[in-house]
Amino acid sequence: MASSELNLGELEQIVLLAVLRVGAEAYAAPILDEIARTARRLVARGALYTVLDRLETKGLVRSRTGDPNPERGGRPRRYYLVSAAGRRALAASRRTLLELWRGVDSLLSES
Amino acid sequence: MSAASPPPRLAERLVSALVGGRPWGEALLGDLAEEHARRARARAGPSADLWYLFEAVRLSLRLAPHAVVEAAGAILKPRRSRPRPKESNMGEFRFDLRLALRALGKRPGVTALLVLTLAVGLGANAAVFGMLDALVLRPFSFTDSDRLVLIWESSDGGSEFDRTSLSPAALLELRRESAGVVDALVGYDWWDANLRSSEGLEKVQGFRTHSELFAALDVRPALGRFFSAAESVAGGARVAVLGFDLWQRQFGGESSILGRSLEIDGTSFTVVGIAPAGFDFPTGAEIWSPLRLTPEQAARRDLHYLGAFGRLAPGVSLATARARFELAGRQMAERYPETYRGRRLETSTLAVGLRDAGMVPIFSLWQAAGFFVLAIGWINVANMVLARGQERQRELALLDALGAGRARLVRLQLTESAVIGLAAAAAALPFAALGQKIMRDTMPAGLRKFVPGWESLGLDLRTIGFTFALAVVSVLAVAAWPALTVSGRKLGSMLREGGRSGASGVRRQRGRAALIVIEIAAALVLVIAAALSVRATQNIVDGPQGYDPNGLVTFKIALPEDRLADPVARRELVRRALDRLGEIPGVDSVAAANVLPATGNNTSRTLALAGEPEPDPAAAPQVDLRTVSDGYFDTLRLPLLAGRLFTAGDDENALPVAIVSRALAERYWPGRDPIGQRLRAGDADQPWLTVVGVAGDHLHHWFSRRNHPTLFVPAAQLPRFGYSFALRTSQEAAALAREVRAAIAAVDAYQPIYELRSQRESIAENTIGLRFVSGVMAVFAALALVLAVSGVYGVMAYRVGLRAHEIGVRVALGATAGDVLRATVGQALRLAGIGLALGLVASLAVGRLLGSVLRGAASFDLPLALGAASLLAVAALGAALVPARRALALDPADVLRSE
Repeated sequence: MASSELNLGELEQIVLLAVLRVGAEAYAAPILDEIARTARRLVARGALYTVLDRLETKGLVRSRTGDPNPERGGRPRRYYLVSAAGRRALAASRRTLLELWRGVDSLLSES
Repeated sequence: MSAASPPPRLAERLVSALVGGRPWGEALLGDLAEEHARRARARAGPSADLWYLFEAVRLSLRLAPHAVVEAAGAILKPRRSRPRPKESNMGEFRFDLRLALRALGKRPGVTALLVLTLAVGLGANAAVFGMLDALVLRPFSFTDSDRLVLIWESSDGGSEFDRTSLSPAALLELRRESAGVVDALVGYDWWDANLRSSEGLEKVQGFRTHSELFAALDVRPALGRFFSAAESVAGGARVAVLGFDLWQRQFGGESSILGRSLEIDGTSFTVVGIAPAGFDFPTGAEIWSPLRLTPEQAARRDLHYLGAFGRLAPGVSLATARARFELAGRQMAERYPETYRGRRLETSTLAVGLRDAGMVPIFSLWQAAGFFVLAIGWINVANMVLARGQERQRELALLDALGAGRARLVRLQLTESAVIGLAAAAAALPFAALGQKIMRDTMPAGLRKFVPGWESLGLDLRTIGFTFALAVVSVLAVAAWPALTVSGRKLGSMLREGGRSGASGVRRQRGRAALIVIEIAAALVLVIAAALSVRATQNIVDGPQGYDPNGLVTFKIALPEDRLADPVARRELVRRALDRLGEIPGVDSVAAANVLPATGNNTSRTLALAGEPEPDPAAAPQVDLRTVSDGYFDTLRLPLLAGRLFTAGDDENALPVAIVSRALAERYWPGRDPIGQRLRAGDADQPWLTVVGVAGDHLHHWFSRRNHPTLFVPAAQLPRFGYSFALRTSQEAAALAREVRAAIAAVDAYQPIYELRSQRESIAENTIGLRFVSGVMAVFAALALVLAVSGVYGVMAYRVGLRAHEIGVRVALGATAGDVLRATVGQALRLAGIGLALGLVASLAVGRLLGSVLRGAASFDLPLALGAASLLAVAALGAALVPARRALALDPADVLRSE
């Protein structure tokens, strides 16, 4: 069974999924765009970085630095990648949610 | 070719301070920079900078209060350790924020008052700072304008107003010798260009400059090109670059202007380019043409008329350049002592060099006044917070008993203070913007272009940043420290005793009394300062000028140097112009002079007296020089005190004569008859003049030429290139415009007139600086008065509220209304009295400061000061009476029962 460390909060799930969807070269800007477009959520830059930082501490994402870019004042981009542990955590939360959703559809169908 | 424009420095530094410590800080900064570059590429203009600023503000709203609160919480030790909550840091801060907003929302009136009080002070300071920044600190928006330097000459022992330009020979030598220090030393010469367009003749402010001017300022032409080195050689084809506004105004902004020939000063110039929009360097320039010096002109050392500036070469510091130019100046003084003895070369940044030396004391005065207003606001806020603090003791004590802990309570109150501060700063900005807009619009358009930076006056990043920084300081100074003084033990006792009194109560009362005293003193100082400024302005604008300024219409002409180089031709032109103007119906008399009173310019010369040794050029006395036509004194109604006026006989063939002003006569021939004395204006090659008359003193510049010694010379004996005409008439300037233009056109078809207006308008424009000063002071004084009075009211209302029970008892025991009033209001008046006395004493010092800022126009006036003090006393009395009377209106039985 997954440990409590791998219980994902809502924002954490969204961020992980967005990183997966962006795929290669996932850095802050396209991740934010993906969340805005698909989840229709506007996440603040600072919040995104905080979450990514926490996920990295938990070992669910990995980051690497890109090349320095004069347009960015010499600061390189940070690219993020979902790790194997991250994928496992996502799968686990999906399973959990699907279990809980079973049978609930009908209760919600008045909307 | 250049890299994408970088993000705004200040905002970037703010973001860096906020996130730099975090592991992802650099990545975030890079993201912002990348997005900024993308937006800058997509759309020109400030939208990219605005977006960056917006992002920075969003980040700081998220992170900064939390950072402050964290810091404050870290300073205090928690009462007992608790497990860290599982929520993220952001979540905890959001909770605090919600609590704070709810607490503030429960008392909307007090909250609004706190925000408004702070906003008033912040807005006043922001407006002044914005002006200071735009006009004094960074008036130029050129690339790296800190690297632009101005070079000029000054004399040992001269004041900072005695700046002179360079002579052509000196400039050319410096151009050669300064390679390596500055990229290229650019010389420029004022040029009154008479431009003929489809609408007729117009005088346009122009400059003849070296071609490197545009490169030094890093500007590109909007159209076409700037002039080349080849066109800068004497004898070549004449070319000109037009200013953007001029191009739009007179030539419809059509690109066909390039290559077209324009008639300027009667000569043909080819337009080779258009300057970019907003570029008008040097002051108010609308047209540029190459500075060309003939070999004779280039050799002259005695005429100083060229300005010089340049961009520091890469790696060269201002100090290095200054030293090099100083050395060059000393070498020149050694080689050419007759012209350079006692003079030296000075270097400064362009902003400092071109700034009006009088501006700095004015701005210091304003900023001090603004700070007074803010300080009074702080006192009000402190009082309100202290009052509220006492009420909240029970609430806080309850929270503490429920386990919130002191650190958490402090954090809560700090969050509340932070919200108030931010709201106040945000509320202050529109006020500041409005104030700046009013100041911008009040400045006459004609003057605006001569004060660099005026066009850029408005809310910019630095002003906004300043406002928020000041808000943070305010919050820490006033709203936050009461929060930090809540102590654990008191909280417990608060709950038990019901929170009505405490040992600290008396000390608090005394503290608040002292604050009221300070507040009233500060308000009085401002009111007195404002009254003095307003009175000084009135004296100068409406007071006696020494001549009769009502019913005078004036205008100017600028005779082109190439076409009318011959003094005979100029003399004739002026004579015929005067004749023609005199024929206009409704004109009683007419006169011409090089400079009329209360206009912006001046001509001065060194003075030498017959029978005295030659004055040292470094320390020679200066007199104002006026060349005037015969009818000058009659037309202006400038009285003749002794001797005779000029006549037609004082022409170019007769003995050179002069009329001196009374101030000149008294300074140089005290107690003796000045008639018949001889003097010389200028260098040794000038003729000796015999004094034939003494005229009354008149007011020219309000700030530096009050009753300055003036020397009048007949126009026929000293023809000039620029003339002002004065017509004594009862008609308005606009009504006479057509006939005046026709009269001048009949004399010279190529001569436009400009600045046709009444003498009263000239005086108004001339005193605009003074009127600004008193206007701003008056507004600040009014704000201070309102704040101080409302502060008194607030404290009195609170006191009366506290003592309602006691008053009830007293009335029940038979005290009359008079007794109660005397007891309550009496204390307020006592405090006000102390405050007023302190304020009166302090205003003595302010009077002296004001005197130096307004240069003698204002001085301390006891009756005025006492009047201001009475005004404030009455206001304070009223503010104290209202709550006292309301207390009396309460039924004592109710009050006694409610406890």
